[in-house]
Amino acid sequence: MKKLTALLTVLALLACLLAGCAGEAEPSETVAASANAGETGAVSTNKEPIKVGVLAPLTGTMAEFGKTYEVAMTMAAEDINEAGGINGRELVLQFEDSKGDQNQSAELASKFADDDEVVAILGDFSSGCAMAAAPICDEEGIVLLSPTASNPDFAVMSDWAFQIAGLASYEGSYAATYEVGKYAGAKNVAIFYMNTDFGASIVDSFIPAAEAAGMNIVFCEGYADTESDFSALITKAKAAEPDHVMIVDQTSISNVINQIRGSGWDVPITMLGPSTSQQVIDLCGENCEGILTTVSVYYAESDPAAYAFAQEFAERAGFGATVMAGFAYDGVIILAEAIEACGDNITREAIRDNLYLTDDTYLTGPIKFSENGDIVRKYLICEIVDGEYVIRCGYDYDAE
Amino acid sequence: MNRLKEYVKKNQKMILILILAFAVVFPLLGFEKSTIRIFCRILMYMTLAGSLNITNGYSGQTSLGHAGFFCVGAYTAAIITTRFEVSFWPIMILAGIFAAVVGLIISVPTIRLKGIYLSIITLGASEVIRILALNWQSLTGGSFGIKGIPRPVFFGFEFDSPLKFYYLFLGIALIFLFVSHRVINSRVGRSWMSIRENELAAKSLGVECSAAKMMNFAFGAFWAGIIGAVYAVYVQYIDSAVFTLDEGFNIMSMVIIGGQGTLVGPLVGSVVVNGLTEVLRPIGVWRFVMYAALIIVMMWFRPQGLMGASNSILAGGKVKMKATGKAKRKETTP
Repeated sequence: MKKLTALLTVLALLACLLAGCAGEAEPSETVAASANAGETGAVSTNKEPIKVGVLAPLTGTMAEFGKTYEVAMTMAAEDINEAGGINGRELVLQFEDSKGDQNQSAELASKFADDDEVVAILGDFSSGCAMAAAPICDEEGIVLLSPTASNPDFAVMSDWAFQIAGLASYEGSYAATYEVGKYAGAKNVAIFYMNTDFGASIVDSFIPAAEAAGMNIVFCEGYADTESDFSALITKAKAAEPDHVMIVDQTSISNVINQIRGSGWDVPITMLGPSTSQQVIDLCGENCEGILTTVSVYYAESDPAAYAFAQEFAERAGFGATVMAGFAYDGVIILAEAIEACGDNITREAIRDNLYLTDDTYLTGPIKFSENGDIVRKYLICEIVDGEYVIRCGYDYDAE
Repeated sequence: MNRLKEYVKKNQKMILILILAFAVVFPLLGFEKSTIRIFCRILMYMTLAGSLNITNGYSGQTSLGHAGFFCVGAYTAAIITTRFEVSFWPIMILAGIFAAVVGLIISVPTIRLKGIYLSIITLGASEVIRILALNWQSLTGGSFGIKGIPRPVFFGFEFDSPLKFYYLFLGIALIFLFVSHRVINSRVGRSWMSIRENELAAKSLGVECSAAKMMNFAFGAFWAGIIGAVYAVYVQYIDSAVFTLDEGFNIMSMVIIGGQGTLVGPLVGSVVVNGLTEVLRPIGVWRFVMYAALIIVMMWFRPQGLMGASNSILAGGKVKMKATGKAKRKETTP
């Protein structure tokens, strides 16, 4: 009987867990409906539509990012179709839910590859999922363009794999040399980082660049993405007496900032990961005043196209446009251009070859692939002043 | 129903051969590669859930940490095959042995702990293994994972398509079932089952309970390690995010739904759970609610699972309760 009780308890737990996941993910359903409505929009030709598969975490813990994909990509597809489609043919995005699970992502990529109508694949959101799908796309010979994967190991895996988010490795060294070094003038730096592929690759490139710029790394420690109490780490970091703190994190950064300020530590902070997330300002309030951040895209009012995109995205998604939204939008646009350049004879191979020729400026800035299929992005340095992000240094700060 | 059972019993061999022939011919019926991948997944989880069933179903120790053993096997194979040019097959066995050793270490507390306490130990161990894989960057690639894991080659025959892996997974599942069948029907297997039914009684009959339990953990972990190694070369890219507790629960849900304490149970569980994942894909998030409901209903009406051992304690003591109930009634009637 005891064993049964134990088993039942565990099962109840499991049920809660599953139900929890389901609850979290629910909003994405409605977007799916509107996305479909959007797809069947403007283009009225008798020609067959062009199908592109999208791998996105529509449910699960990363559902918010899945929604970002869905909204931004649907906007891009609508824009293309309203402008006459791809050589007069309608672009249709087929969203599949990878749940943020690598196995699912790989299997769905295989499913797309088997479908002769699907000409290319966009996604997946996380580097891990994209990297799980990459060997399959390589074998089957279909483009896998991940708008958001930043792991420097992804695009090199295959000729068919592309990434446009900019390499985490470059972002790390930029932050070290220009943001923390040149702009903030730090000497002794403490690093807190979330131990994911993103965090680790930033730190791996940050440290050598910082040391080359004459800084000392006095403290560097990672934490799991599920952690929420950082007091022990903060005490330890404090003892190392840094004059600048660098936080590399995408999810729990507001927690870290609040706990640092809460412990009465008034040290200059640079954050890397959330770029210009409104959430950080909402959750940290006064605590985040003066914090520095880098961002590759900033939807400023001075740039009407980007500003209009951000406004419409926020209206559709119910939350502000992040950098990811712009990347997802651009991913669809450059893929569509590569397909268009094929003319009437669209093959998976021709799309790949055309993608390598991409060289133009888009919503999120210039995109030109290296021979690996990745790009180096330019960054802006922003500071939080009175609860708003203010651009402190432009794209050419590194050249000054 | 009874007739069907009798018929199955009489023609057991023939039915087994028929099923086997079906499994061999089935994927050749012109399926898409992505469909074959689903079959691969089902076969993989058959062995994985089967190996968990050895612990949970046969010896009645509720282990929640199976993803940990799976992780050890996958990483062992991935690390060795990407760094040294060695044949995959001995590495596969080595991965199993490594996982078994880890299983043995984890089983030490089982000598003293039971029930929910033991479950928590295994749960913790599974997370420790995953976090170790996440943080030991020089060895495991940390959060970057390990990519470019080479495909196995068998005397010049390269496993480079889902179909070939289907047969590899099938072969391993068959070997697992055969070996387990032999072990379960041996002295060792019977001692496991006696521990499940009543540890005290087993002890009094001369069963070395602690040794038997340790062996049980190691045996289950060994197969999880083997399948982990094959998984690594199958997907060619692994990172620690796959081996979370969710994965452990996923495996366990197959054992629970399919049935504990029989060899067929986990096979059915794997087909049902993985099949449902595909069938219910269109309903999106409601899929999870369906799983939860299914498990609750299952625990309610058939705690031993669809094909579980009805003649055991896993059936929620129903068997015994009936017997004692009758006995009592007889006593009270004059």
